Amino acid sequence: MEMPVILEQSEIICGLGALAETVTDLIDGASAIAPGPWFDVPVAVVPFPDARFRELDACAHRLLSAVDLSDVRPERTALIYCAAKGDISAVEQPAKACSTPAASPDLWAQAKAVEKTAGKQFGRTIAVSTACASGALGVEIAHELLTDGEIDHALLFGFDPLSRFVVSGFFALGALSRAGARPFDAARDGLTPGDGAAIALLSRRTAYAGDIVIAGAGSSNDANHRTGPSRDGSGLHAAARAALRNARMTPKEVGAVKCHGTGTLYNDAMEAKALTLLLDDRYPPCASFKGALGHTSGGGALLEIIIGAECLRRHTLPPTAGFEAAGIDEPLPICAHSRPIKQPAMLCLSAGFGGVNAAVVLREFA
Amino acid sequence: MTPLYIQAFGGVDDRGLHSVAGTRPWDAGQAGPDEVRRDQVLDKQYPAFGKLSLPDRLAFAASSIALTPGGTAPLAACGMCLASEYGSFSTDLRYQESIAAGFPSPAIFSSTLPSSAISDVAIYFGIKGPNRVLCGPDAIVDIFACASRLIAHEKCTSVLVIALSAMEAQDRQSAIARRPVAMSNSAWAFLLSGIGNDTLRISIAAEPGDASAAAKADDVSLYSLARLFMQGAEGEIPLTIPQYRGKIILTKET
Repeated sequence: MEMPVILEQSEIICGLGALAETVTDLIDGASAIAPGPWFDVPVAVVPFPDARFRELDACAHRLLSAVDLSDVRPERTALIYCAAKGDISAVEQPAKACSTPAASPDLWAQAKAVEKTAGKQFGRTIAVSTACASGALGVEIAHELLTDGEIDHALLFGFDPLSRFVVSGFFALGALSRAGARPFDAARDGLTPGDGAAIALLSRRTAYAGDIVIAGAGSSNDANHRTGPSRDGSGLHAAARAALRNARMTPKEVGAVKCHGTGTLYNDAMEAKALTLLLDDRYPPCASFKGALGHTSGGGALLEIIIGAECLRRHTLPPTAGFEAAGIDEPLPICAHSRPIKQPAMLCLSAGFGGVNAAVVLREFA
Repeated sequence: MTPLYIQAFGGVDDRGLHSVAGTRPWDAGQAGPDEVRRDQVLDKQYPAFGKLSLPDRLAFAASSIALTPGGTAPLAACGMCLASEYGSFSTDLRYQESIAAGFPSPAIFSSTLPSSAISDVAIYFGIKGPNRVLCGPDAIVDIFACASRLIAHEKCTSVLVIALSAMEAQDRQSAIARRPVAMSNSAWAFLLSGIGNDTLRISIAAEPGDASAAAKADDVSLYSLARLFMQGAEGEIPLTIPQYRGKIILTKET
């Protein structure tokens, strides 16, 4: 019998706190959006409850303390660091960075800093950076390495804190909402940046009832625009199909969709088209977490997959905060209230600058 | 590792522009890859070329040399794997300068991602397959392995592997670079497939090494690999980078 890839342990830090409380609050309809200005920019964001976690060292200590690595053989483990920008403080404050040996804008150096904090020398250290899809691509790489038996464990670490660098950039692009993201809503006017960090330990082993399995993953490129999504949704559709094919599942087996759902006009319209192409006329409940947690960028793709897994365990999909009236042309059942997940599989979607699309399929083992 | 076969390649480094036809030196007065022109790598107009950041321009140039001659398989389903040694280090500093000047530049910001180096390659050549973008001095080994796995897992049948080492000269002495920086820039693109067609098979025999014994970042000589391919010759190229010990092997299969 083929051994699946299991999500063994995980933890997050986001605007609503750690994993358990975040999922409970999401299901209750909470949002952590905080009015601006932030970084001298007149927009709302979703900050960490404790700003110290914007420092990689503090964040790594906190998240690594939440996973038990005592049974992990480091030489048979890959550390996969997933970030769009990660810790950019060294670029923002080079003088301060020079007195902090670990500070570097180099993502590989950041990955090595996490390894050092873990106190282990892993067999491989990989720094994945595919914009806001980084965490999902990290899961896909881990899934391949584990499936092929090249490693026994993958330790994924996603990290993309808020910074003046990132917030001012999205503001300059005209991509931010002033009041807060409202994914898929008729009144949506942009995304809300958020702090996000996550850790996950994946293993390949015999599955037991209740285990969350990484059933498959896929990715694609729009080949269309540097920063904007393709208008027809074909790229994200291709990634989702690839993930389901990799999972040997059909769209009809999907019990819920964790949308990318940024709250921008074009992303949400594109995503609705992609899902309509994929799901035909059988729509499972769909939700975006970004109306509550903000867009937590590349590391956030991992964070949202972990939250999705916890929702799957609880058989409940949270509402999409900020969603009231549909602002898309397709009849996508975006959750305005919590909905039960009736089939134990979730499709998690991500997309990023550069036209990158990624999809991960989660399944609860019965 | 699933067999990979080189179908085409292109490269730009200090020595010149490299293609299957050989190496063309830089024009007189042209200061190496940083000054590569559109007409040297592409026979059609592409207005975006001049606006690309240095890493994006070099990745695009190497890919164009590899893919432009024609005769390559349709690329829509091709995967793309980028190893970016320094990520967007220089672009990050340029964007930060625009913040400091009080005018954050949206154009520069959109290039402050390591993955931005595959954007225009995908757009121009219509490459819509799966993507991988890894950063760091050893990403080159992992990226060939990623390409091999994409083919083994039947996610695509060909992969464009790009190895990029690009940093603006003014940033090489930056105190926040934190590790040895190559003194010149380069980009290499290899179109690889899982099916051999009278071409050379590339494989990497690598084992995890001692990370503390990190060697110079340019120890993996893709120029040597390109030369062997140009000559249609078998051979081995030693590999000594931070996490690995081993070699890249080119084998003829008939």
